[in-house]
Amino acid sequence: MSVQTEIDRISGNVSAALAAIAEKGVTVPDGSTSDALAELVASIEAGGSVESRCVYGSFIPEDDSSVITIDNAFPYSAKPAMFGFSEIGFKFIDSTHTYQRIASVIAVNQSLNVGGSSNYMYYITHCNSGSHTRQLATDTYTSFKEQYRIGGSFYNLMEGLINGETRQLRFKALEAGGGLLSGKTYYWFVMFGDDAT
Amino acid sequence: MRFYAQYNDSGKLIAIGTGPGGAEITEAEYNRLLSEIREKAALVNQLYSGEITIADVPNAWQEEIQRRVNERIAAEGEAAQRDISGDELLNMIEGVL
Repeated sequence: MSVQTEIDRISGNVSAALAAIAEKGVTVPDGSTSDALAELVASIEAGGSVESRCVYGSFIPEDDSSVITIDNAFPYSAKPAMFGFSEIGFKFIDSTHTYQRIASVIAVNQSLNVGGSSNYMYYITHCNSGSHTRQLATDTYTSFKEQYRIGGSFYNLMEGLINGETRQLRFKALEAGGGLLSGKTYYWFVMFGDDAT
Repeated sequence: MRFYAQYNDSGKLIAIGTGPGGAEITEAEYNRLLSEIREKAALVNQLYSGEITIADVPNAWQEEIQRRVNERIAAEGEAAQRDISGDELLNMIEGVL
């Protein structure tokens, strides 16, 4: 085994690691070497792309229902940090802006209003009980409400419950939601990580 | 894309979906269940609103469709007695004028 062979092997491993980091949504500068690996990996842990931190799916109730429970919604063990659902799907937006990160997953027909005007409407749950940064408990059902906002008024559509231990999601219709309708598609996502801000 | 069916503790289908969750099914099975779910939902709406009678519902589904209509009546009242919006009233008036 020659020295050159070993250098080639290590060089190939570094290139593969840099490519894998890039696939996680991190910008890898041209010419990066093993010297940059630690810093680049740390940036993955700091966030990565929004979509890479989420699992998402949809469900269609068989019957009109007030509650739907989805089993095994998490494909791996991780700490749920944020959870949302809507009737129109989501798009995932990468941003480091403080305000935008709060709404980094938004309904597909909505646009971010970075100015913070109250005249936009969003459908995502912020896991909030007075705060946008509350952690979800991982050992019990944690509930929070999906709201939509028009002007200064909030309307409760559904309550979401997430159980980090059993990996179940539960969706419960509230007064303004009118129930979960048979044949209608509902979309959900769960974001993982230490914070959802 | 992954497709799944979600059953309750009694083994009754309660939802289908895409992504993680439930028990994995094929796309063909998903599409078959989706068609059935939406067909039944349409029959419930039609029977509730009086557009069809229970005789128009396939025999195998009559009991289920009638039960769902009964549950809806219990929750919302008869279709003919429910409150209507201003737009619905306008449409009705325009339909006869």
